Amino acid sequence: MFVKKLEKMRRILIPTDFTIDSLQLVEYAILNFPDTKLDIVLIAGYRLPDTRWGITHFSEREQIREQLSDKFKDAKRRIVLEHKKNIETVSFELFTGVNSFAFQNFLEQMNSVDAVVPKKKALHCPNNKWFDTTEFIKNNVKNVIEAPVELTEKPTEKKFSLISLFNL
Amino acid sequence: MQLRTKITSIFIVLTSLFLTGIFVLIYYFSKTYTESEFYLRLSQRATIAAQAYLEGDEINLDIYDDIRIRHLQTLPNEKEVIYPVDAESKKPLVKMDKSLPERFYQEIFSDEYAELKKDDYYYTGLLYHDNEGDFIVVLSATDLYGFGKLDNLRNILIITFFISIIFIFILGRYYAKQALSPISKIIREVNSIRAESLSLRLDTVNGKDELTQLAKTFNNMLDRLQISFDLQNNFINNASHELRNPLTAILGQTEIALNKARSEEEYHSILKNIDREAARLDFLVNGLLKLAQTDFDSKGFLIEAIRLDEMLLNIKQNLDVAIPSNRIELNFEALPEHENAITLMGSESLLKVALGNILENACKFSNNKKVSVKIVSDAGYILLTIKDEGVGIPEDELKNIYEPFFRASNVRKIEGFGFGLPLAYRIIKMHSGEIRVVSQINKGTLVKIKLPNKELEYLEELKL
Repeated sequence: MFVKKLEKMRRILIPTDFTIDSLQLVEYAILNFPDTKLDIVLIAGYRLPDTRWGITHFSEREQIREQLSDKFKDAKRRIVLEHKKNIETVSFELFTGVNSFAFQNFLEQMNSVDAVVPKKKALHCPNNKWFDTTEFIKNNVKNVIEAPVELTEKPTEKKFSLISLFNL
Repeated sequence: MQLRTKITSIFIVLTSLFLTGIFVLIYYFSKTYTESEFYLRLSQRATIAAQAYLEGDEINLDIYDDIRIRHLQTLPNEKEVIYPVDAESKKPLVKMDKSLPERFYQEIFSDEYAELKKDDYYYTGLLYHDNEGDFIVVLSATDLYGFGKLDNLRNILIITFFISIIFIFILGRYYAKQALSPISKIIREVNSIRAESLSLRLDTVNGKDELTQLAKTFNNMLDRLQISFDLQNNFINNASHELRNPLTAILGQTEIALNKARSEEEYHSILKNIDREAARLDFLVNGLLKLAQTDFDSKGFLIEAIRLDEMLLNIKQNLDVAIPSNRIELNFEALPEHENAITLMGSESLLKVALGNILENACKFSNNKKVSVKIVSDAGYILLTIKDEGVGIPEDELKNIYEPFFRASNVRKIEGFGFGLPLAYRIIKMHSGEIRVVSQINKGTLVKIKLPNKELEYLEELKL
């Protein structure tokens, strides 16, 4: 049986807020790049700590690991399983800059010209250390595809804060 | 009794008991400490008294008295008595104060020291050995300062207790109100939902608490209610509308045929048209019947074990006949080794209709471009992905695709009635499954179906 060869690998940048809903963008990437092996890079923005201690002990992997819930990991695993043919890898990257110049440098490292971003503001960062990279991607990446993200659950208030304890 | 009052009362009772316990402990330990401190002072003074009187022959008695009066403060109602005794036979040599119990003296003989409290008086007794013989020195006094301190502490604790209770009452009432406010909100929101506003849903935040679960349960119930209501409301309208078209065509054709005498070819052509319209009518009525059936419970349907891969092959065979130019590619590469992982319990005829409709739509709306179907199994579920490269569904219309007779604005020219996907949605829901559609205009549509497999059912049975 003749099997159509997949196009060479493409790296797709996708902003994430570590929610299952945000993974819909991965599916839109598959829809937009059929017959292409995709290297999905999920990007989250993180404000670097402003103390010397914080910076010396800052670990990108650790920060990402803390955000990954079991449900999110399951959903990601399922997507990879369902689209094994299209997805080569799904990785995470932190953008720790503050402006477009920093993002352009970041993009050079990423070496990608394609991105899928949500059409409306659909990503909600877990706390003020994190920020949405959608606008940076929209302004700096060459080929940006905007896709609708259907929010199944409303964003939660800050976890483990005293306010959330009293605000029932 | 209102739940709010009940919660506040329980809160107050529990806190009062806790506070009472704590305050009683504080009072008890303070009292014990004050008494032991006073006994210590008494014993020190008893020793001094003994030394002053019994060793007066060795040094100047006046000096002792002077020291005692000037440098050591006399205790309130202080009284000292010295009895000569025979320590060996444990017998007094003079008459002792009978108002004190006998065991007090016995304790002095055995331990050389004893303490006693009688009414407001504290007594300390000690056995003193001197070159003149053995003596029992008994010193008594009242602890006016200690009593005063303890009274003061008791009053402070009682006042603190009542102030705390008032604060706890206010805080408890406020917090009970806060805690119950989501329930009041749910009640308000549920009350505002009427038959004509069934599309309203309760606000749910992403959480795991019981109230979020309650709101989600309400929303699920409203989903089911809305589906039933919508069907009831729209079914007759839409069905009559859809049925009228072929009927009008048939009536038109018969009118033309009866209008005047026609040739055999003309009658043949008219009958052919009538046959086509009647076939359409038949298809429509069958479809409507199936749609109506799925709104009842699953009783009456034969539930059996279905291998999804076999069913998909079967559907593909049928579609190959109906749409010969279809390009459905079944991908069974990731099939699990265990049969149960891709087997589910359900109605074969209904699932065939559901999956057949989705696959037919994928072919129809992609103009027979490639349609990939992939089946994988994961953690108790069968995951079915159907991807086409068709016209896609407009973003703002995605939310309406499960409504019967709804047709997306970009496919109105393509033949169809708009009950394929709603029917599939209901059938999948009936099988405790989930269906999700991701679509983008001119890029394609991705339909994701998640159905519980036999392994999950077996695990759930084990749990029960």
